[in-house]
Amino acid sequence: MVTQGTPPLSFSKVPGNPSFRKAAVNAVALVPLLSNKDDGAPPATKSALSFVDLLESLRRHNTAAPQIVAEDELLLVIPNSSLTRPGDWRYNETPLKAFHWQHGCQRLMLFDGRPQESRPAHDRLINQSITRDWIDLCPSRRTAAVVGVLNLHDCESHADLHRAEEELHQVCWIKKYRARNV
Amino acid sequence: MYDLDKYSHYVVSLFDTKQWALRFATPPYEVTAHGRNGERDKPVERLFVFDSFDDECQKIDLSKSKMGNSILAFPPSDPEHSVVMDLHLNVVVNDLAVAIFRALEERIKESDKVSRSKGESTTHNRTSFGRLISGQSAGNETEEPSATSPNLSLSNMATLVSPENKLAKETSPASDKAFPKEDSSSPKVSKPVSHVPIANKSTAKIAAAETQLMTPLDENWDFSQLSVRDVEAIRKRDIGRREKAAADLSLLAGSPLDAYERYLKAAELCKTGTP
Repeated sequence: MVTQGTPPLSFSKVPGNPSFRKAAVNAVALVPLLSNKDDGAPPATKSALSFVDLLESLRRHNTAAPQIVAEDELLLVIPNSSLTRPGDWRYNETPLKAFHWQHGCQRLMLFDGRPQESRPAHDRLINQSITRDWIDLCPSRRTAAVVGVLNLHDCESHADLHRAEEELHQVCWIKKYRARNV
Repeated sequence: MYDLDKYSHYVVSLFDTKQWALRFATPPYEVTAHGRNGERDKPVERLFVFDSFDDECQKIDLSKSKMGNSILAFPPSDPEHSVVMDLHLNVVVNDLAVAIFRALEERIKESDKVSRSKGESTTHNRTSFGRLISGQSAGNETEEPSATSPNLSLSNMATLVSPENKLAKETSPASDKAFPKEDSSSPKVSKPVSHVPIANKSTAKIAAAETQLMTPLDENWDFSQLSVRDVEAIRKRDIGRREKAAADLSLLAGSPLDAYERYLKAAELCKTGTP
């Protein structure tokens, strides 16, 4: 006997239990800058500490809608109604004719971008045969954004600031998380 | 006396570096996700800067940063400023969500543009073959296959469109199958159309240069070595795939209704593109 109000259990028989909800999540990698040590020791820079604080703040910020998928992931559901519509956005120019700025939501999955620290980063940077190589078929496996975290106490001069930008943009993280360059 | 621990650690880090380089290397197959230019699939960038308001950090001018509007200053993260931090996070996360939405929108536009260009080239080819079938091929059109070729019979042209086409059955009752056997005793039986080499070199080059959506299971074909039929099949397949990818991107952009319409359209394209 099925009790009223109990949602029916229906799991996909496809491995990984894919769903449209999972396919609608944009992955965002968070990485501390100027904190990468070749010897693998845990970084003790101010940026690394700010990175930890930011993750804690995001978890605290998300308490209204706790959508923690896993220990190393944080799912944010942002209603479209709380977004600021860009001034140059026009309905007659967008391919998304049914999109409404007052209905629906954006889903962001934030994770620690260091491959030693989280499974999503490990899959995207090291185990690319299941992520980047298949983003034509499963665009949800791509990384939508890379966010660098920097504490200015780690910057002695503007050269350090530019070094952090290079680390984010060219040298490391952006290049690692984008699709392969041919 | 050498410090063995120190040197072993050095060797391990060297090994790791090689492993990283190998792991981050480009995969062996050539054509990639969103075309041959990886820059087009670059993720959205943001740089969150902390403690920029401290007196010690005032010597760093963030306006000299190369990242422009992508660099965002954050309030202190201590418990005393948690309320300010929450408000700031709300603004920053919303801005990030809008930036990702715009990036997805641009990718859908690019994909639609490529689909349109592929569809137009397919239409152009159909028009050319229609003229060939009706015998109106102009002599100065060197881009089209030669009308004197024995492969360009009406039945072959019909089988090019569809093996089930009436013309393919009615005009060649002796060889009503789309792919006659090569060991046929009759010398007049034409070869299958799929073995006709593509005559339009410029079209082949354009087709080869076009971006494709591929998976590691696909092979990267040299279009100049393929027949017209195979090139058309690959193009149709790619148009269907592109529509499906645009549907996935619409879903990521938070527009499930657009995704639904595109999924339906992709299913129809796959039906028509599959012989």
